[in-house]
Amino acid sequence: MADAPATGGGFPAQDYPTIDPTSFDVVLCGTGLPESVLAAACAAAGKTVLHVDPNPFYGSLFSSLPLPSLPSFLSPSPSDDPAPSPSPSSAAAVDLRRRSPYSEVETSGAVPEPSRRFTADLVGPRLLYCADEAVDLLLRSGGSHHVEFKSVEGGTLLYWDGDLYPVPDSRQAIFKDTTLQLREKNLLFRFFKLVQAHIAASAAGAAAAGEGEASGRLPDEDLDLPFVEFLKRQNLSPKMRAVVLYAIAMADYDQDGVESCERLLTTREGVKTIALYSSSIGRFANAEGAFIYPMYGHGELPQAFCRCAAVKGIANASHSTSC
Amino acid sequence: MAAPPARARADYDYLIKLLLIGDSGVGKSCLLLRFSDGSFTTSFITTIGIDFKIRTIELDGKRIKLQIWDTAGQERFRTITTAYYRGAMGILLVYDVTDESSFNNIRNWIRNIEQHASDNVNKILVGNKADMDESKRAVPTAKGQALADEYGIKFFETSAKTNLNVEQVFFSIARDIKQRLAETDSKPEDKTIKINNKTDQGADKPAASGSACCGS
Repeated sequence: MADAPATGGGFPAQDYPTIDPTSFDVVLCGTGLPESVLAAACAAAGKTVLHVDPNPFYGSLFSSLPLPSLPSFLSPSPSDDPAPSPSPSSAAAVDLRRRSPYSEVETSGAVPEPSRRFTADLVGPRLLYCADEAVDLLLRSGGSHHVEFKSVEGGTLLYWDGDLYPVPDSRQAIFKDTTLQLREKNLLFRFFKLVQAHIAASAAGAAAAGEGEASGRLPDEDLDLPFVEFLKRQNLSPKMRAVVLYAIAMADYDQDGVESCERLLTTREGVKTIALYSSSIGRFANAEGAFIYPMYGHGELPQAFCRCAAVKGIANASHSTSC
Repeated sequence: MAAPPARARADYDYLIKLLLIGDSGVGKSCLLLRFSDGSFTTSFITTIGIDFKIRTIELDGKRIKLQIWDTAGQERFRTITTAYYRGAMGILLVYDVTDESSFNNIRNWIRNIEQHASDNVNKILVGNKADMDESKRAVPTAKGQALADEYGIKFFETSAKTNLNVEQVFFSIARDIKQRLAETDSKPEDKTIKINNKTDQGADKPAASGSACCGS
């Protein structure tokens, strides 16, 4: 359950302490995900950071807002621009104005009860591969202490011939699958084994620079093929090709009908996404499948990085001042 | 919603998440370092380097692993994240007995807690720096006790400097939480995933720069 942001609530409007020191290496405006990651990185690198945000909550447009707050966020009342204070001659005043992110907003219906238990995610990453670079960043920075995730349960499904089928995306899943024929299972096993061998060989090849053609590595002529062609050469049936292309490699466009395809996936690209997918499965002991999502909304991600920035601070008398 | 205690683990029976809350400079980090590390320093820099500290205590034959979170200095500008309150089972509300405004702000912090922490979170009121000379005292003991009575919570005056009542505070709230958990029907909560490295123990130790100071 995500609530209204902790800032502002409970405290009467009052003067904040003077910001000391008055000079900083870095000034960041806004607590969206990019700014928050940057704040954490700068603080970890020993920079003095001033991080400000005009909103009383973290996240800017990357927030997860409690439902009662959503209407006022979407249609902010036009506030009078404060009179610009006279700037010293050494500085130039820049006229910045905030614009509403939405051109038109219409709301209808009532907020479901209890409203406190619902949040609306705005812009931001809703799902993450378990092996995504963003997850690695959370682990390295310590941000993972401040976010809880849930796995996307139930597995993915493929719509085929008017029915829904579970996607056999791992050895265990292929083994357990009751809708696949034995021949299909064997071919899919062999395909995944081939990809795993290539991934391992590529990793080994990167280590041993001189080794050009490590065994298991796919030849370049295969890697440059359209992925759908490569899959056909592996004797995968149309259904199995659909499993690999759309459910695992996440192709966005129909890969058959090569002439009309808007974005043809190469084997190199397909193998890369399969590598990400397969390394995501089983990465975390209690996560099913390849995907996790922040349990209380992705607005927790900027907060996690802001907390990291505050924790790091810097070694001397000045400090990271979080807005 | 409070996270359920992880039970029957190899190294503890209950895992309890505690928070320190209160104005900047009242000595929250001093209390934490005194309790977890047995150390104290008089220098003040807004807290850096401390995410949380862990200490396992034994209580009525049970091993209680206390995970105690510090504000990381975010309270200075009222920018504590909502995630900080997530899953907290107990909160220490700390004020400085020589600073009346920090005592007056306890009401504001309680409003903040009511807004963001779970409804059944245990709270305890702590008046720190009780070792200070009486001429510096701004909040009489009776006033602290009255506020605690008003909210129906326990009250201790402490000194992280002289180690007065520090153990008592943490043991007291831990005992109350443990009792509450034992009495509550522990419905199975949604399973959440804490992504961790295998060797993720570094959070127990503050950065070297942080260990030389304490504040908040």
